[in-house]
Amino acid sequence: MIQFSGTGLRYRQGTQALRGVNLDIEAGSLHFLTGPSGAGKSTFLRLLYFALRPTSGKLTIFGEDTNKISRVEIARLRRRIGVVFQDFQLLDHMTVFDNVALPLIVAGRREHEYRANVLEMLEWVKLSHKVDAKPPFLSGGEKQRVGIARAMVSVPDLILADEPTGSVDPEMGERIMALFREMHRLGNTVIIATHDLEMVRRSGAPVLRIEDGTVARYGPGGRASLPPPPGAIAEGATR
Amino acid sequence: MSKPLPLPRDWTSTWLSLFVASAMGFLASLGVVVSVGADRLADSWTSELAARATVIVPAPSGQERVTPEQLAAVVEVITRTPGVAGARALSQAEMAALVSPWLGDDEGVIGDLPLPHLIDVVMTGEDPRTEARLRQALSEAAPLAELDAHGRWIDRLRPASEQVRQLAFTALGLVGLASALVVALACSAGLSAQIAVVDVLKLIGAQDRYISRIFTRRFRWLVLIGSGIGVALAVLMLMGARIFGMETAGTVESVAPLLPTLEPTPLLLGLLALVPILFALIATLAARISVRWTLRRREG
Ligand SMILES: Nc1ncnc2c1ncn2[C@@H]1O[C@H](COP(=O)(O)OP(=O)(O)O)[C@@H](O)[C@H]1O
Ligand SMILES: [Mg+2]
Repeated sequence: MIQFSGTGLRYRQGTQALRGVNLDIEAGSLHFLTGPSGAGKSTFLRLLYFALRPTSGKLTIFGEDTNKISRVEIARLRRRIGVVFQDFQLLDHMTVFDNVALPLIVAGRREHEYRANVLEMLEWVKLSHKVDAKPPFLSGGEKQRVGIARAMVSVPDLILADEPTGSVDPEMGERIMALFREMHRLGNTVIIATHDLEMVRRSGAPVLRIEDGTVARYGPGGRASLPPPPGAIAEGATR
Repeated sequence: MSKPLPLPRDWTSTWLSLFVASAMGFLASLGVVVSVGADRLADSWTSELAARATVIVPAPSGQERVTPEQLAAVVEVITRTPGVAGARALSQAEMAALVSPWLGDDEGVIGDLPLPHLIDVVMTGEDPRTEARLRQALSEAAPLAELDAHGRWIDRLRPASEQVRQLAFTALGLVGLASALVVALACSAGLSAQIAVVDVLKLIGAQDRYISRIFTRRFRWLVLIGSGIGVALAVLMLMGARIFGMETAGTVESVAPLLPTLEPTPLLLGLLALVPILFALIATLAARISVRWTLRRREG
C-alpha cells in the first residue's frame, strides 16, 4: 500500500530530514513510528498525507506516485486517510460536533447520515458532554481527542497519528490505543508516531524507527529483533 | 450539496466588500443614467432637427416687407410638397422672442427692422428626398426663399453626441473593471485572514472547487447586497435632484428639451436592476479566480 524507494526529503531551509528510505508498508498493518525528537517522524507522516512531496527518490501511496499526482487526486486520496495532527488542526469557529464531522461534510454527506457516527466517536473519546463546545474552550487533551475522533469518524483506509497520546493521561491513552487497535482489526492500515516506548512495548506491534534520516523496521514485537537498547530509543538520548 | 460550511466571522472583509460594492454600484448607476441620457439626448437632438427645417423668406428687392399674401403662398407651396407634415410662419411675437437676446424686448425696434420671415417646417420623417423636393418647389415658386435643412447642425451634433455616448460607456466599463479588481482584492484579503481554515479543509480532503464555492458564495452575496444598496441610493438621489430642478429654476424649462430626461422608463429601470446582478456575477468570477490562485500559490 505504501512504498518508499530511495525516498528523501530536504526542507527548503536545508534540513535533510529523511534520506534514502526504502520501505514497504502493507495494507492492514499497524506500525509504531519512533525516534528521538527531531528525528523526522512528523516529516515521514507529512509525506504520507501529501503535505510534502519527496525531494528525491519515489513514494507510492495507494498505487499513486506522489511525484506525479494531481491536486484533484490528492484531495480524493486524502479522504481515504485520517490524520491525527500533532497540533490538532481544529476549526475554532465550529463546534466539536462539526469538527469531528468535517471529513464527512467535506465529502458531501448529510447530517442525518453521519449524526449517529459522530456521536459514537465522541462517546469513545469521552467528549459527549462537549458536543456543542468550540475548540478555544477545550483543554489540550480534549482537543487531541477531538482530533482523534475526526481522524477516525470516516473509518479511513489509512490512519496516521502524530503523537496521539501526547496530551492525555495514561487511562485515556489506553482508550485511544484500543480505538487504533479496533481500526486495525477492521482491516485498516495504522501508523502511530510516538515516543511512549512503554506503550510500544506493551502493544507488541512492529516498529519503524527513524534515526539519522533513515527508517528501519523492527518487530513484530519479538525480542529477537527488538530491543534497540532502551537508552538509544529514549527521547533525545542519541543526540 | 450537504449543509454549507460556515466561515468564521470576518468583519474587515465583510464591511470592506459591502462598502466597496455599494460605492461601485452607486457609480455604475450614475454611469447607466448618463449613458441612457446621452443616448436619448443624441437621439432627440438629431431626430428633432432632422424632422424639421426652416425656410427663410427675405423681403423681395424694392419692397419693405413680405406681404402676408406672399408669405401664405410660400407656406402653401411648402405644405403641398410630399413628405411635409405641416408648415407655419412664425408670428411677429415669436420672431421678437428669437431676437430678444440680441435686441432686447422692445417690440417697436423689432417692428421697424427689415427682418426676414421664418417658416417652421415639420416633415413626416427623416427622408432626404423631402429636402430635395422642398428645394425644387421653392426655387420655382419663391426663388428668394432659402431652405435651412438643419443638416449641417446634425452633421456636427452626431459626432459630438457619439462622443458623449462613448465617454459614458467607457466610464461604465472602468467602473466595472475597478469593481472586479477591488472585489478580487477583498476576497483574497478575506482568504488570507482565513488561511488556517483553508489549510485544515485541504488536509481533510476538500477539493479546490469546494473551498472556492464557500468563499465565492459569501462574496457573491455581499456584493449583491452592497451594490443593491448603491443603486437604490443613486436612484433616490436622482429622483431628489429631478424634483428639485423642476420646482425651482424657471430657466430649466427653456433648456428642458435639450437635457436628458430622467423619466424612469422600463429600459432605465431594467438597466439599473441589472447592475447588482452584473456585479454579483463579476464578484463570483473575481472571487473564484482569486481563491484558485491563492490555493495554488499556497502549495506550489
Ligand atoms: N517546516 C520545516 N522546515 C524546515 N525544517 C523542518 C520543518 N519541519 C521540521 N523540520 C526539521 O526536520 C527535522 C525533522 O523534524 P520532524 O519531522 O518534525 O521531527 P519529529 O516529528 O520526529 O520530532 C528536524 O530537524 C526539524 O528541525
Ligand atoms: Mg513531530
